[in-house]
Amino acid sequence: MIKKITSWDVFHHETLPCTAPTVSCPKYTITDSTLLHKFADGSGVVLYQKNTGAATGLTLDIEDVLAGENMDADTLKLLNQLSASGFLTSNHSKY
Amino acid sequence: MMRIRLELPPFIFDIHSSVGFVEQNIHNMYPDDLFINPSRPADYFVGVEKANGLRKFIRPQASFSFDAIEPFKTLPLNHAYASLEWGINYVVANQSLQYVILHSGIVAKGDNAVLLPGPPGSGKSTMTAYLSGRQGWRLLSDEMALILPETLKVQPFVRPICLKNNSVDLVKRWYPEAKFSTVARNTHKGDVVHLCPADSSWQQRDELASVKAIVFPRYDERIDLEITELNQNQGFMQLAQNAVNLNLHGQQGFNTLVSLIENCAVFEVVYNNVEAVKTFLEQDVL
Repeated sequence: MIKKITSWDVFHHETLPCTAPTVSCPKYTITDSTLLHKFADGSGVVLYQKNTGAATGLTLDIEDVLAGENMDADTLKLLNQLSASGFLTSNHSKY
Repeated sequence: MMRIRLELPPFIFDIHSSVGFVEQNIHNMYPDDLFINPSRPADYFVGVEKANGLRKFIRPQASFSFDAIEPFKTLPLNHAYASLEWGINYVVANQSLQYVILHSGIVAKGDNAVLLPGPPGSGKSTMTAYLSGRQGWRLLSDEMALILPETLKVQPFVRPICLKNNSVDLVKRWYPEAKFSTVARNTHKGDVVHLCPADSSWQQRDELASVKAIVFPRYDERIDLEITELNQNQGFMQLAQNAVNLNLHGQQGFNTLVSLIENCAVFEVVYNNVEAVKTFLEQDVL
């Protein structure tokens, strides 16, 4: 069976209340081994890590999020989660 | 000792067993024309034999083997036929890399197939058994959908349907004339009986079908029929959880799942009324 991270949390990330202040964060990029697909019905994107078989669905546009400078703590938590699962890589060395 | 060569498209199995009721069940479950000349090459060599050791005097055991490897612990002798069927599933799921394999029941009306993915206990085998026996419908597989990569085409892999516990009596009431295997009692899935598919399913065992709909079934005795249409993102995630070898196919596997989701209607169906599900599929989906 496919490995997956806690997709339910991720899936409903958009609906979670965000009360934390925004923070600056390290830049993340999508890894070379991550495939991304935007669904035609507008329901979001799916990330697939082809080396591990991990997949996760997101209701937000991950490319817009990655392009942003500041983000709230929940979004940062999500990015850390995606990074730990091998979908993203952080560019800490630049900071 | 029995040694047969069984053609179960798209594979040929060499099957051996020294357990008497295994041979009886195989001959009861599979039509005669699937038993082929042993000179034809087999894809997989499998068997189920009585296990040796002192335990055989107290509680006889059976062991499944594949290419002389015994991948599982021994099981009570009473489970021998069921373990052979499960073992064949294991072999195909792990060895048949030419297909993207989904853990799913799959039936078709004509060439229009409906995927019924779901975990054990969701009622997918019961639903598969019901639909595959109705006029115009056929079974492609009770356990795994063999999808040709980057297409919507599915290769039939017709085999007996594995029924558990309460669904056995239910299916016997629906199809009193059907052939059933002996009962494997107290397995890890409960009491298990295999159902021989209808003749039409065997006759069309070589005919590919195209997936038109994906239905995630969930049996609930309190609910007659409740249908929820899933968006593509939800559908993908649920389907991916039922993918057996997606990680082995890389981009091709990912594209296959995306293609299925973007070209099929996707529903979650909670039901206790199988006829209502059939009517829904025939009138609103296919």
